[in-house]
Amino acid sequence: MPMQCATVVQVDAEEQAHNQLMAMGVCVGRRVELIKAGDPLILRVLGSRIGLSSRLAAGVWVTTCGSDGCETAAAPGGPESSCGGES
Amino acid sequence: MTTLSPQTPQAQEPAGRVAPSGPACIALLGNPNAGKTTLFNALTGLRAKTANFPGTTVEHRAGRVMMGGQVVQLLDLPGLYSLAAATPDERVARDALLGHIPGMAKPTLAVLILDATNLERNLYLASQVLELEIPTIVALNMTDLAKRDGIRIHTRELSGELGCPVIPIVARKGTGIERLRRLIEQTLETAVGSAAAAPSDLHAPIGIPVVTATPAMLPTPATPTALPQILPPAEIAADDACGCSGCPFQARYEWAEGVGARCSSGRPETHGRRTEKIDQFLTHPVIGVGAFLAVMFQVFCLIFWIAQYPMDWIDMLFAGAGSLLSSALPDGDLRSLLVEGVVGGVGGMLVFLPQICILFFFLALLEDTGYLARAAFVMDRLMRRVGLPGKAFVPLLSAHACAIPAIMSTRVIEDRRDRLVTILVAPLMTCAARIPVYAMVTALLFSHRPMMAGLVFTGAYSLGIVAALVMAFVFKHTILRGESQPLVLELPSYKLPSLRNAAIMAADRALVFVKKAGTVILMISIGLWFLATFPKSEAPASVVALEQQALVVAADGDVAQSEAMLAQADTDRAHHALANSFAGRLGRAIEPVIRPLGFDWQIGVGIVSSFAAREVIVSTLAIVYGVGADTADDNPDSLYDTMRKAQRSDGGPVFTTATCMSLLVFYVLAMQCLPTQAVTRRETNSWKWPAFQLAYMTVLAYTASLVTYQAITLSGLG
Repeated sequence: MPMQCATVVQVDAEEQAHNQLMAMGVCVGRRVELIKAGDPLILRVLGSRIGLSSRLAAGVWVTTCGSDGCETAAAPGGPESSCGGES
Repeated sequence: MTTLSPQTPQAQEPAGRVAPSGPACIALLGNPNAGKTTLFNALTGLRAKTANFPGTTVEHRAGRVMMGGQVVQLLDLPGLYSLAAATPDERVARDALLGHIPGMAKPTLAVLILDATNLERNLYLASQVLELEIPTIVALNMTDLAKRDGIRIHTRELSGELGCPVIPIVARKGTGIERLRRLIEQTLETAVGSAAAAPSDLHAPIGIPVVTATPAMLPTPATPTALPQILPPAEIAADDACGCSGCPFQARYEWAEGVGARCSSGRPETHGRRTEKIDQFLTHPVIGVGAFLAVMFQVFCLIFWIAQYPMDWIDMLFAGAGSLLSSALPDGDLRSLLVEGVVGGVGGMLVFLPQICILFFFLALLEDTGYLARAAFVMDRLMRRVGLPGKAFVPLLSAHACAIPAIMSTRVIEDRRDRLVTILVAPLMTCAARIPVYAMVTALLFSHRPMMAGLVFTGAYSLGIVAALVMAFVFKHTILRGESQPLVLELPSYKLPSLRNAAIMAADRALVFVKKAGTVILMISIGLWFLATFPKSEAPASVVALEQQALVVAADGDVAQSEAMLAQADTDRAHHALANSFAGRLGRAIEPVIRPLGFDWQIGVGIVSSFAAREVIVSTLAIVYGVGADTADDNPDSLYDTMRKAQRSDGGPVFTTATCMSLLVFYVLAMQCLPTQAVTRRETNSWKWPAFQLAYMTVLAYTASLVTYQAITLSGLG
């Protein structure tokens, strides 16, 4: 699912990885865009690209947004899902 | 984080801001890939030195420059995404900014580099730096790239929002550097001239929680838009401690986004599309790995190809210096010490410089383009199977040229355990210095069978790689247990690399090697010279007789015959001296231990004397088998012939297939390289790790050789 956009709602990770994710912009309330799926995957966050192992990405919970952008709060795609998960 | 407290009386504290003695210190900081190193090089030129922060392995570069008529110390801090003190780099940078590092002055001024093409993410760090009560100047870098992508940044608004001066620059082209330098000079004058005036001019409290509590402290009405209503200060303080969601992270980003939105305009969506197109190939799981292997293969070919010339020159230079000294000084211990110990030791150390320089030059170029991040990205999944991160791949591959630059390049690995494991296993890879030993063994066994020789070489290389990966796996599951740090890696936009930065990097690494490892190497070289020279022994009667005979022959007019006899006498004398020296005695002493590996005492002497540099075994064996080191250099076949003829006490040949294979396995796996040990010591900041490295590799080499020799002998192949 390339170019999919989402809003981060929760980040579950160990402390060091958590801080690293936060500092790079993968943080609650931020818009992220999946540029490349797989392991590792690539996210676009705040105008930069972040390579992320899928193990970490599985702890990043997002609500998907419509193709017209993330301003729509409700996720038309369905329930919350994690970045790395297939769900 | 007490600095978040609105009660901190920042403007009332001029003391300590100005270093009363010593030069003023300016700290340079910013995100990785924001162009910090380029700016530092532009400001300092070649006058910078690399050193570790006291008591850590975190490096910084510092350079003294003249600014506004005074000497100023410019300090390049590690590249950071945040000051959260979660990683050693962040902790050290934070301590340095706060003046908490013993022996280092608190910076008078911070120059914060922000990447204009990625303003919001960079503003996150800015929000933390601006709270530290240090006068700050923002250098807005890569404004040319931002303009190309249609991003317009209004520096005046940004300056107002941040409460500090903002200078647009293009560090790579030198644009805006003069303006930045002038502003630094003015600021320093103000800071020194009137300490009280500086803070309010330069540093105003910005948006973050400070604003929430005391809007009255704000210098201008421009800022309160930041985050006043998100959380009351008490909750922020509590939340910050646990570092979880709904927290200052989020608050800071909302502030950053707000500032970004107000201070820039354009279509940032188009930014980086070209990079993404290239990445479709270079981060592809198959094409990406293939491309990376191709790139690294090219780099190695260049290292081997280019480095051999300067290495030959260094060899020639030191051989020349040695013979010059020999002819200038009278024969004796002093001459022997200077020629063999000092000149030989220095030459043996400097010969590594070409490989170090070339590897780091190319690594710097690859890193500058943004490609190295992609390499780590594609190798991550493969390396993780042995418990190492993708970033460990480049050092391990580089170790095939030489373990020394490889170990020095492990600094890219953030996690301490991952880095240590990489350092420990890197010397198992077949480096260039093992090639003479491999060549000797293959020549002994398969002198006219190139296929078999090729197989032996391939087998030796594979053995090194397999051993390194297995040992990495073992270490990651025993003494350095822990999952490798999961990959979180910025993939910066591709850009043209800077040759100047790469050259400075190469020179810098070379200097670090010579200064930090050079002294240790020189001292142990002298120690080994001592072992091989003392105690002195009288030349045996046969040598004396031969020399007298040579004189008689010369008197008869047969000069050629006389010279040949004298040369033979010299060779015999060297053989006798080495056999009776401490090294020779050590060789005999360890013979019972190495006997099960199929080695006799002569090979034992070779192992002892090649402790500092494994390739030395070839010339040592030449001496102990009585060929003469010079003859072996000029005509290796004469050495191989002699070795093939060498007999045990029972009359059988010494170099059987079993002994040769055992020797080969030993030299694939044994440490036998002093400069590597010295570099491990420097990079781990402790003697414990080089000692462990030596111990485990020796045990590994011994066991593997034992198994090899016994298996071949028992199976009847030897």
